[in-house]
Amino acid sequence: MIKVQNLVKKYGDKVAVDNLSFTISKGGVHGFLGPNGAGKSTTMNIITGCLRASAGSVLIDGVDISENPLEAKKKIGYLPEIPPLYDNMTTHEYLVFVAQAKNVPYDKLYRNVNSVMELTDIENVSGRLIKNLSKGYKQRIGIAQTMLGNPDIILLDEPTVGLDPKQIIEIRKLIKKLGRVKTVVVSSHILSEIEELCDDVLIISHGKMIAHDSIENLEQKLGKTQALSISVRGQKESVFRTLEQVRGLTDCTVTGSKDGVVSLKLEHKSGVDIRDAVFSALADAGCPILSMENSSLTLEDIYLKLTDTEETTESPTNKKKRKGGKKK
Amino acid sequence: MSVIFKREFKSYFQNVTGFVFIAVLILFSGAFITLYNFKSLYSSISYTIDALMICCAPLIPMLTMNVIAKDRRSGACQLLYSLPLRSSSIVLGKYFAMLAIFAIPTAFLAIMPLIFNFMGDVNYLVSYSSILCFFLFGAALIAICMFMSSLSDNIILCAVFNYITVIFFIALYMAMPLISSLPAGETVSKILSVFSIFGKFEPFVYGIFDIRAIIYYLSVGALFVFLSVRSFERRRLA
Repeated sequence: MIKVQNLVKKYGDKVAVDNLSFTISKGGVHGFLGPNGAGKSTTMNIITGCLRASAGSVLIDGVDISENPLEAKKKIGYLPEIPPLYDNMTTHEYLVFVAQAKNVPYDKLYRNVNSVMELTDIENVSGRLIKNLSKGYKQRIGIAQTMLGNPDIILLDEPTVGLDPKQIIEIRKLIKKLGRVKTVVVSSHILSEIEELCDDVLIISHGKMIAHDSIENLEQKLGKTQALSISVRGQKESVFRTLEQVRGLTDCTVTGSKDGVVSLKLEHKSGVDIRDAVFSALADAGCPILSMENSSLTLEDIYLKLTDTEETTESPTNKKKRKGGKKK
Repeated sequence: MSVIFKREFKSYFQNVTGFVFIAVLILFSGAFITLYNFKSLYSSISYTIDALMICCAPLIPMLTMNVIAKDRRSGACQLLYSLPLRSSSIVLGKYFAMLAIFAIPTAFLAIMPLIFNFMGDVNYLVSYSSILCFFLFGAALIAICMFMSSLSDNIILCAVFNYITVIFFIALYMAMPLISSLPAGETVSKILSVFSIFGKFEPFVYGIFDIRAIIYYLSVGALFVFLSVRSFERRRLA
């Protein structure tokens, strides 16, 4: 549905998107994940024809956006990070304007406008000026306009930014509903959002793609180690010393410490059950275990692992600079 | 293009801009008509238009100064860019909306020769050719100011660009007789006359239909609309 090939975008000397290639298949909700400044919005702007790439190509359902932008744009609905609204128009006027600009035939225009208003639940603000509406409604209107003209692909850039928790839940429900009938691409730096909404995830960092797969597959690929979360009563140092003796343990991180109870995350090789050994070692040391549970890899872990890997492949100068910064 | 035109045209009446522009221009028209045609008993409207041109020039930036910048500031530009519309259609839609606003006071002027006819003989050809020239003068100045507005995202900066442009044209018009009187001023004034957007109307005041003025205004208008499209496109794709 969307094929991005060797995409490069440079702003002067700064490379915002660096040789990015990926394909997004038809249907479902696809996540576009990356830290702020990773190049998500730039990539989305290039896909939607709002920006020209320095190099590379974008095919929308086989149509090259740079060669045939009008045809390609008919297949896309786009919500940028800031909803592109005209404050001095009413909701209905605005949606009619967008539908007309998208060349929706006159006989279908009002039906189309009414159906997207119903789907996004904004019928009650149909006659109100956009400038008087809440951020949540503005976001909904922004999403509603993406659906006008019935495009196959909907791109949403940070659709829940600035919304309150109730509005976030509602917008996420709406995106899930859309994902059943359209190809939806959601850009976000909120991991839980991507985890909740998306079937697969494309992770980018510093303008480069570092992973593109389903969350389950990423878990499997990166799940060479498994983790155990435990809470132990005792001194942090003695708990650490005791756990060093446990065979199969690859990493031990303190996640919290309060009132003489230490919380730890123990990483171990997959296929090795270290629970018995941990229990025995800590019992012998007189450090009672208060809780113990197997924890699977979350998207957050995957993301951090991948971005860590990305950072370690950076130039030694950058690493030196970062180390220097830490020492201070 | 028509969808952009409709939206832009309506937007001028969703705040005071459109009303003020039309009202002030009609007010000046009324004042000059009273002065030249009713008091001084000139049958031609050309004198009124000649005086009106200087007054309407500072009003044109009211229409043009935020025509592109406002969309960039609100983020609505991204909507326009992502819609299946050509940059030329977007810019032309905005341009024709401003022309339509300018056409309203021009239409008011167009009624006047018919009223004058009740009071005496009116040369319709001279009057209506002057009105046509006035409209084309407005179209050219709107195109120039629109181009100046496309150079920045900052509305204040756009306003400054617009007013500097208009002041330059007025200053040039005022300075032309002085320059001509200087030694070797003839050559300099000939060169500068290319930029004298106000000076081109002079033959119409004397009842001469100067096709060169019409071609000049049409060419300047077309050139700056083209440059505005290029500027809009360049900033989109930067």
